[in-house]
Amino acid sequence: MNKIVFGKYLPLNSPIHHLDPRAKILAMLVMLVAVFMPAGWYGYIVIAIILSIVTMIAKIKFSYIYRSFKPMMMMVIFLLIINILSFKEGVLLLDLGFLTVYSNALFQTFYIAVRLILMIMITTLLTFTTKPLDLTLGIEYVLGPFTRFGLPTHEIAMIISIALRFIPTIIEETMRIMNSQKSRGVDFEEGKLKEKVMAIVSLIVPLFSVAFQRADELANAMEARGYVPGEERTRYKQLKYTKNDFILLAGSFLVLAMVIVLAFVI
Amino acid sequence: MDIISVKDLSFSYGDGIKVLDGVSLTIEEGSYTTIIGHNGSGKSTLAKLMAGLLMIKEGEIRIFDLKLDLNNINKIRQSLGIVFQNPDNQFIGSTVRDDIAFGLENHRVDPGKMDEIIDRFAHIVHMEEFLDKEPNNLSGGQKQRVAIAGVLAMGPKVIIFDEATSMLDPQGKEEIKQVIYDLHKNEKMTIISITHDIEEALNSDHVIVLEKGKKVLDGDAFSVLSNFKMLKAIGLDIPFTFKVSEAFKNKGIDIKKCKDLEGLVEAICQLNLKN
Repeated sequence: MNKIVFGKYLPLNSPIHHLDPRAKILAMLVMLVAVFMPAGWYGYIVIAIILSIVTMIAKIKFSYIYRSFKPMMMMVIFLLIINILSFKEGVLLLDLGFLTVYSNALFQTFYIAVRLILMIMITTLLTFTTKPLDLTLGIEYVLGPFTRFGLPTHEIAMIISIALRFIPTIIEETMRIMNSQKSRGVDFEEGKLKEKVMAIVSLIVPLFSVAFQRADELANAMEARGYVPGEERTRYKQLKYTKNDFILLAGSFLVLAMVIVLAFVI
Repeated sequence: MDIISVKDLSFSYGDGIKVLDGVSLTIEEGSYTTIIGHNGSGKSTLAKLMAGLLMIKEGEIRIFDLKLDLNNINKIRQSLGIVFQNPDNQFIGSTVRDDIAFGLENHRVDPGKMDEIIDRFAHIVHMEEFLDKEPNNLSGGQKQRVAIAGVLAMGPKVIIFDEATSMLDPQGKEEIKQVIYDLHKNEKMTIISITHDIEEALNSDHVIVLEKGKKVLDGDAFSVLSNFKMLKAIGLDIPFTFKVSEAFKNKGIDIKKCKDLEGLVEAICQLNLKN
């Protein structure tokens, strides 16, 4: 559980860490659009190479990136089942009578899995290299234009920031409750499905209780320090674009352009 | 001069059970007040009401002669800060620096002046070397010191410590008690400490004892904590030095009550010399 890295900030000293959060968020959105382009394998290879270079510049170990993929394994298995049931094209690989597996089903699953991996890589690179409060600021600025349509941008950004800030705390809490329940004989690993469900319930109920208590205390602390949702605030951190931010943005648009060419021109 | 006055304050959380029942008290400017009592005696509810975190239903609280209500709440909050029990649940920023800045941003302090304020208050709580650290890299006592710096940065005249040392290890407890003592002594701040620590109460100026939502004792530390009959009746502890004096008295030897161990040893030595 404590190996979950999704949403964590890694405090390293790299050029990527020092970039403006607005530039990183915009670059992330551009790269996500690039991932959704039907550019085929060449497009994905280009994106994967670029992301690997960014990972190295950010001084992040690839093992960390790999660990962030783990939580999506269940989703890949789910996709595989859906694709096996829906795709009936390509070479017949397995015929059990009631169930047939075609090559296209496996191909589609792999294709979507690669997309998912690239998307997770892009988003985790953002959270690994951006402090939660910087992320809040960046999100707020990026969503800024939508404020005139009544979107509570600051509140959204604050919620995201606090959620990210509390991920490690909640994970620690989960570990503590798990150990406490284990010491009372609850087995989270062995047993029948019903026993496993009961074990999970014994974890979830106290975890929710603690999370609500924490949320209440945090709200009190924020209110006591003068936080009023929707009220104007000043900003300690003043965002300022630098040359490197423009390089990042230009680079991400260049990747998007290359992927569009691969998808629609070649 | 009274900085806080509470008059006939009653409160219940909606289940009809009165958590506070007709409490009246005053807090003098520059004093160190401790509020003691069992769990459920209404101490934390009183603190939350004074900090404007709960709405007053019955009674009145005046802070700096301003009635605590929705019209004055923001003004009062700039002069009154509160530090809670769990240091993890009040750390909002991703680093010590960001966390101290949080309150300043809410009070619309000019960003150009923030660094100076952050450095000054981090220095007061001895956290100047940890400004870029994340909460996960800090001990409980250090996180609590950051919470104090965050409150101090807003320039309050009164700080309420709501069992601020109860979740800390012995070293963390001592660190925070020292910071509180320094704030009172060096910064001349009005301190209200809600605590179970009877020794801390003994070293404060003013002690209020709550029991089942009612104020049962109120006065200077010496007189309140000398009221053994009442303290024992409600099951509260008695300071160690007072216990020793009481034990001597029970043996027919009259020894003066002392606030600290050194004083007690001195008194016993004096007694020995006389004999």
